[in-house]
Amino acid sequence: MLSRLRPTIPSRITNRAELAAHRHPSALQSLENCHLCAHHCGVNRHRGQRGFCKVGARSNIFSSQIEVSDELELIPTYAIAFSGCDMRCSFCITGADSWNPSAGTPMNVTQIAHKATSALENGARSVMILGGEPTVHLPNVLELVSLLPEEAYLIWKTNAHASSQSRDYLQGLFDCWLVDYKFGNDTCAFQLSGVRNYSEVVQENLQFAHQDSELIVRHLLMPGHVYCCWQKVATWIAACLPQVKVHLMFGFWPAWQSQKHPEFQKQTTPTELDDARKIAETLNLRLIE
Amino acid sequence: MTTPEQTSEILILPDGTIYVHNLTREIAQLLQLLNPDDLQLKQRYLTQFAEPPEPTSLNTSLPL
Repeated sequence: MLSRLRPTIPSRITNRAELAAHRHPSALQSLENCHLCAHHCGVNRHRGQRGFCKVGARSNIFSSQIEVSDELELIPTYAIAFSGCDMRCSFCITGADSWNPSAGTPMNVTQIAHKATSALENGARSVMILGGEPTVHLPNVLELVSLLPEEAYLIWKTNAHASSQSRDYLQGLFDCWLVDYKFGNDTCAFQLSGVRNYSEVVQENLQFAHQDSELIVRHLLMPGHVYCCWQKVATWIAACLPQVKVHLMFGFWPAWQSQKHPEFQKQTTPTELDDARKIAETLNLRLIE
Repeated sequence: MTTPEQTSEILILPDGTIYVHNLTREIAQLLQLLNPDDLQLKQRYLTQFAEPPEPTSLNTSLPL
């Protein structure tokens, strides 16, 4: 029955494995003074110091399986989720694993590359690297990418809180950046995720991703944040990245520590959903599912 | 904390709305059978195939 499967998505990238392998030693050394994300903690992760993300030099994986919940054009995808993140979103649906670098099992890079290759041979159309946040795992991600099939369509699913150093390591390696643009202003970003200077950092990363690869921007509509967050996000995309695909997600799930925030004690209302759709229509955004 | 490498989470709201995180094709198949008219789910269940799969029951595995 394999002939009935949709074909894998062809990658446009050449020499990816070689590039990743070449960058790996430098990325590994960079953990001595870590600036992989925009927190710029500057800790020595090889010596046991830990920054905002609490991740050490090694990586754990808390989920790796074929999934069909992402964008229709990307699925089925073999999704590899790294444990540990540089943001602290109260509503994180995988908070217990995403905030805990020890969640899951220690990454065996050869084994996970083999599993991904096998998944591609058995129905997955792409491979997605995610977290937590994969940026803080970049050395181990590079090692993994160096072992993946050259023809694999690779997706970088990120919170776009990477530093310019990380962008240098990532340049030219991924076919698609799938970016969660969560907040429309720095106040909501700090209150809900503990991150400062959010908008500037995310927008820098989005501009880079747009130049470097296919880009899909996601926004999870949050109850009570249609105008302060979604409208601002949508307006920026319309002005700065007007042709980019946007996935407006409606399935807000009051997970993890959502109870800390009064607006998250309820679901998004039908009025909020309508308003959000109207904002997208008015700005002529290129919505996908 | 250790978690299994393969996991899905399902949240069912009082109004019957179902949210799924880490949707696998097996869960998609199950939910699609429960609610065959759900277009979102149908798209995700069927999208892995070049052609629609044969009808299945809850007790059968995906026709791979």
